[in-house]
Amino acid sequence: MSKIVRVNMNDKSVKVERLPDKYKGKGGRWLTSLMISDEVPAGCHPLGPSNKLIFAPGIVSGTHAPNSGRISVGGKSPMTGGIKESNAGSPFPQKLARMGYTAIVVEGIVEDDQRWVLELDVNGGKLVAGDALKGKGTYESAKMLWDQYGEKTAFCLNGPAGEAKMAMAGIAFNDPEGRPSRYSGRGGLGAVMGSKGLKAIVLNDEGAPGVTPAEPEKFKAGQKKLVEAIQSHAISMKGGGLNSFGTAVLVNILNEAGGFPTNNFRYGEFKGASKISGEALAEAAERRGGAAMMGHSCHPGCIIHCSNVYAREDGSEHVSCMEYESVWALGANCGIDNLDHVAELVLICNDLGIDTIETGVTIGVAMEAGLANFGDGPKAIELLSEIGKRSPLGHILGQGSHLTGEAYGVTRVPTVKRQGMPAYDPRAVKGIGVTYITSPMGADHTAGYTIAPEILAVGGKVDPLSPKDKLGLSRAFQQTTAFIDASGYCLFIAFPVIDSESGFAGMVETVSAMYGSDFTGEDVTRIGAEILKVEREFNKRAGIGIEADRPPEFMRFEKLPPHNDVFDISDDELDTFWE
Amino acid sequence: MKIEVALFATLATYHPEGKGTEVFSVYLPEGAKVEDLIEHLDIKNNEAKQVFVRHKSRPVDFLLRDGDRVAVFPPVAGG
Repeated sequence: MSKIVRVNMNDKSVKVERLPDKYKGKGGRWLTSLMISDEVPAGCHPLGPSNKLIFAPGIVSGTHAPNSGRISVGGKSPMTGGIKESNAGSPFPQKLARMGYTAIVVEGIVEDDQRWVLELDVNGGKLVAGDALKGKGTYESAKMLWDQYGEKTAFCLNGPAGEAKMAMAGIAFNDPEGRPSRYSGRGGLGAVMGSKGLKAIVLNDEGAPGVTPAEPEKFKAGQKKLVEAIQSHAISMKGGGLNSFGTAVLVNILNEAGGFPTNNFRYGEFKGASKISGEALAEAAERRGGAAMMGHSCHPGCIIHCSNVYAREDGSEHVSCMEYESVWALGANCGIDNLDHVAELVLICNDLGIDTIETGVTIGVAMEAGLANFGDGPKAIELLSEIGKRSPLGHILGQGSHLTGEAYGVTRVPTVKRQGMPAYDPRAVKGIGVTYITSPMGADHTAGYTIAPEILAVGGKVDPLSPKDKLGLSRAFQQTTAFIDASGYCLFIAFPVIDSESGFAGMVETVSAMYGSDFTGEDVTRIGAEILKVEREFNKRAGIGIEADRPPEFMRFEKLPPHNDVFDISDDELDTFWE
Repeated sequence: MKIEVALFATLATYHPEGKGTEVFSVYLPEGAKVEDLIEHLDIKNNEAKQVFVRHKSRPVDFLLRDGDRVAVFPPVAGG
């Protein structure tokens, strides 16, 4: 039976309810966005009592399908003021789904300054006092949770930044070894969790019934096709780019394409790119040995293994994971080319519980404001420590790049809907610019990853610099992505799947077989479009209409070297995006 | 003419001196194309997914110029 857990922070009650029929067969982003739209008043304060925080495993999470350990977290975002879905890969959603829970809905708010931990098992849950974790970094909190509940449990938690309700706070999920390193990072959902006084959720899946597809044979056949597609594609196969070099394998190619934002989006090329690349990470892992590894996975059942563990010079563990977005944000975007400094910055982000992308964009803006020089790693580390100290400056930085820009009168602030842009400059890669601008999530590369055909020659090949046909390209990617975010599959299955008809069919068949839905390929875009519509309508009710679908003004007139191009898709054209 | 070459990701193993992604020089006759360089480096054709010259991905028949920097990539992705 599908159940939802309702956690009320006002009266501390935890109730298990039957999943309403209207939500049956839905999961991940599909479910979180529908429920937020149905239950959260769009005009509410994101940190107030009316907002809700919803955790939903994807539709196939908890099964043996490959790369299916994804969870969506939804709520009204304190960063954008709109709807937010932020997802992460972890054992957490696999356990949650196997326990028979389709979603956890956290509502209400605490009136005092206490912290609470939600303990959940197959029989239900309860809120217990979590004051021992108050103000603690995520690493110490994670250790305390596993010491108390055992290593077979899964957890998610927020850090000191979330407790302080900072808009760049994310929610950390455990990796298979218990690191609090897998993030629903974007949009400030950690602050929503903090506002509710909820410090952590711990899952004990002992006696879990597991997940059985409605059509096991169809599921199995689909699973086989998907596994074959992933294992035979050069990008996702064992020994391929992702597995050997991690996501940071992108550093050099974006840099060669002149679309690698450098020094707060001033340049499209970074001299130190190769020093912070996936190749450099792999070389350091080889040379330093010890705890270092490439080919780490964020959840059991992943067959790509794109994560990594970075080691210090002496081989001791420094941090996991050095992602492309993180090494870009805290590296190139701040002019920093020292991997050890970047690793320290990632570690601090993880421990404070903040989004590495927003943090890097914010430090870039702070450097623009003169708070530090570009390239000064130690000073960037010092700035980040202000967030941990909760100093007035720390609170400004903790609100993200948009507010930091406002506070210091900076005009080169690379945001859309107040959310910092990820690691691709829209002036050199126009389609991803359309995604940043039109996504209901604010500037988010994962919402419609047109980088695949624009830069990587995956799923076709189009000119990244041309503004032509980029609306349709981004729309198609956003729709397919919304479906994948609902499915529980890792977005990286998209690379083999868009190049393989059989792999695509396998993805659709497995999702379809879960509830006997008879989905076809057309349903992928139909469902994706439905999800996006719900999200857009929520945003409209929240006061964020198409007039917010705009690039930052400086990208209209400031030419980005080396191509010396501006973002040249007009506002009028952008306004037709959803027509 | 002199061409500066960088080989990335799994192609780094083709570095003539075993120096990974480090840039090295290659001398090719005038009129050489991207495909001539790939052949010169002995990279199997399907392994070189994309070749960037002057910040753009170029086709195999793209004409190289003296002093060009050429970056060769296998299939890569991430995000």
